[in-house]
Amino acid sequence: MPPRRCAQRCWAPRWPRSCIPPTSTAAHSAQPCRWPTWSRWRGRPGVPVIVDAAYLSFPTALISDLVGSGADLVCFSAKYFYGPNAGGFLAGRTDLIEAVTDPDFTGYESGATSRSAGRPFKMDRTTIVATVLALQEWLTMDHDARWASYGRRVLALQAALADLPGLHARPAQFTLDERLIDAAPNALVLRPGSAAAATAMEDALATGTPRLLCVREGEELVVCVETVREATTRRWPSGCGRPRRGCRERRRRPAPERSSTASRVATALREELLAGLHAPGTPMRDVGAGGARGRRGHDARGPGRVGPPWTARPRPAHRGMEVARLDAADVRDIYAARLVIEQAGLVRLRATGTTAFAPSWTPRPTWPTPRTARTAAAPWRPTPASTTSSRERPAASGWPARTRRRCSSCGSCCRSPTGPTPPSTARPPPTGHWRSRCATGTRRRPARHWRLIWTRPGNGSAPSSAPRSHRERAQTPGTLTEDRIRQAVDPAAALAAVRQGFIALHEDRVTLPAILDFEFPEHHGEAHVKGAHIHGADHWVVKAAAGFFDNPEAGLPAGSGVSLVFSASTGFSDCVLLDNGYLTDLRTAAAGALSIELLARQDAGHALIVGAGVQARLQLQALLGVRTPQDVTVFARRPQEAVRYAEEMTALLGVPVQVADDLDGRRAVPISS
Amino acid sequence: MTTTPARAPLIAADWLRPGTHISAVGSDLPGKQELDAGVLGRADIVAADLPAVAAVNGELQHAVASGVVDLDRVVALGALAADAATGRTTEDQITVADLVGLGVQGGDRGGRGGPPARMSVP
Repeated sequence: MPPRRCAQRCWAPRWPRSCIPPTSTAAHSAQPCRWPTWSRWRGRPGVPVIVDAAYLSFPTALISDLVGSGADLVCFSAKYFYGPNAGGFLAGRTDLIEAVTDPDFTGYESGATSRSAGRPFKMDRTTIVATVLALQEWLTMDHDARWASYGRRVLALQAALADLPGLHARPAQFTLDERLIDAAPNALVLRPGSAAAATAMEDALATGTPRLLCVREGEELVVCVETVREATTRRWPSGCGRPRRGCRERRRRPAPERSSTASRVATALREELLAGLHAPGTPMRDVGAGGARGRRGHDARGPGRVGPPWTARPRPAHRGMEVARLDAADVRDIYAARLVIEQAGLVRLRATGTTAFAPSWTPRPTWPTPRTARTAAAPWRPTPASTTSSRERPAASGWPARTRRRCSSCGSCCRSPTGPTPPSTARPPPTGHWRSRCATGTRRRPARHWRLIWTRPGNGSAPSSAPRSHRERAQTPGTLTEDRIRQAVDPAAALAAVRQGFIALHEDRVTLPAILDFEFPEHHGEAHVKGAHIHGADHWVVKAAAGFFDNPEAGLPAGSGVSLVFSASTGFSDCVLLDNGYLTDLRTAAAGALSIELLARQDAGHALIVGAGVQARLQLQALLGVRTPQDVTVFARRPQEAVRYAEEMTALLGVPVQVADDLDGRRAVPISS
Repeated sequence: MTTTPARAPLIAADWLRPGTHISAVGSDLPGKQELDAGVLGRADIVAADLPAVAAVNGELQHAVASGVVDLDRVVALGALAADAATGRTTEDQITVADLVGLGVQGGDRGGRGGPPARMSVP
């Protein structure tokens, strides 16, 4: 296997145990990395290559890189992508994976019925659900935003400590192989001045409330912030039209504590144990635990059957836990933890519409049972509902919880995550605003029948003309104007997106229909309709873009266009992007920059731009993002355009731009970029 | 970097010096041409965003039609980005990228329920 560089070019040559973990986009460098030299083992009979990839799950492209590297088995740990501690997943040869799953956890503990050699496969279905969820999140997560959030926390912490005399605090990155490097920070390094002071501080932090455990590095303490939660404040957009009665006050009031299914079952179990109803060794089958203790409906059924058959194979002979050497508190903890994770997992799997792990039983239309609906109109959730209404369903895939509110009258009108999104800031977008209307048209109290709807200008604010049903709303896409698109998408984002797009294309993960081309020779114009869907993406897009090159003479820009964004789950149009060709221009510039980044010499000193239109301007800007030429030359068939281009770009970019009056390289400038 | 809707070659093959890289983004329809076919013939590496499309719409249409460039030799830009293909290996190589534009690039919606922050950008 020839030496390779990883997908993100971010690896030091040490491999695999001591390599520098890739951390953030900012930390990516152009250092080459040697792919492991396991090629000499490949193909030898009886010598499987097993890679302990542990934390090598970031950048996410690395996962597929490793899996496709020819190893027989690659093992990833879940805790490094924020999954459960005991979880992980394997990729590789089918026979090896089946061999691993064969001796399962419960098999060993079930005694003589199916004793196996050991317990290497410790994942129960709780852990599987949590691992799959964590991996799904990890693969779709905006990792730049993740790192940016660490930076924010570190800076907030540093600012809070700035006044303390004698304490030096600096941001740093604490890598997964436990080194401090100067890169995108995820930790604050405290230097109190002496080893004794550091010890005292470490002890004080470890015994305080809450307990803070630091990493000790000589005289320094490393405070990692990755698991620290940022404080959030919920703000409703002003003028959002929410019912005033109780709008703010109610939300600030903590939700009343209510006993969970887990705690009720656990209480019953504890009492039974203390009463001596269970002898040590008695199997307690968790599937029916709730029902056996007087719980009805979903409570009784419990989250027993989750996922496809392989996640919970029916093995009634030894399914469940044993009470040997467990006291009542242990049982309570185990049940509570298991139910918490499974409930949360189920709720979120349903919310995201994942079908692969849908429960095999049919959920009831109202969940949980109507008996408890008054106090628990939403599924019980593990997080303390101190700042959010108990009626809100958890947000999934970036959609805010308040648009997912469930109407108790029809029970179906607001489940689908389609339709326009409410504004995320206090300022509503210019094309409409949110109003509170009864979703069902019954206009009945209580207020949970009501939900936010999108009111567009022109429709007026009369309730009768606003879209009322989910169907209407889904068929009325939102609109984004060029200004908002320009705010949202910058060249750096475009370059990253274009790079991922090309990689997806190369990996055949794209549906890419043929391009429709139009020509309008009488106006020196052309138009193209293109569309694509990256498999797994939430949306698919069709774009119509035109270039009419006589337009500038009439004082109009040459390029124009519009993009239509559709939901990939329902097919409804979701958004109209009135970008006037901006996205097309940005994409083309980013593709040009990418081609230069990938192919041009690192030390390219001269750039020649042929053409002086919009694209020539964007291309030069994008080019300067990936190379630093000392001089730039422009040639255009209309010399006055070239002169104007040179003046504008020199002023804008600070790079001297010369004008060539001839393209012949022997008389003008070297042609290189 | 060539960005024009030209229909006749602007760049001749014998102008190129070793180490030159050209990105041609102008040609996206049959009949358009910014680079002489010989430019692509002289290049050590020819890349395209989508080689099959570039052979019909891009600079490659003339080079492939005249047999100067073998389509099998054209590298996909995605393969370079994914490090599945070899890019420039020496400083003296001449490289050409032919970009016709796709419908692919893009990602997901921005988070926080705001407007789509990053869309598929065809």
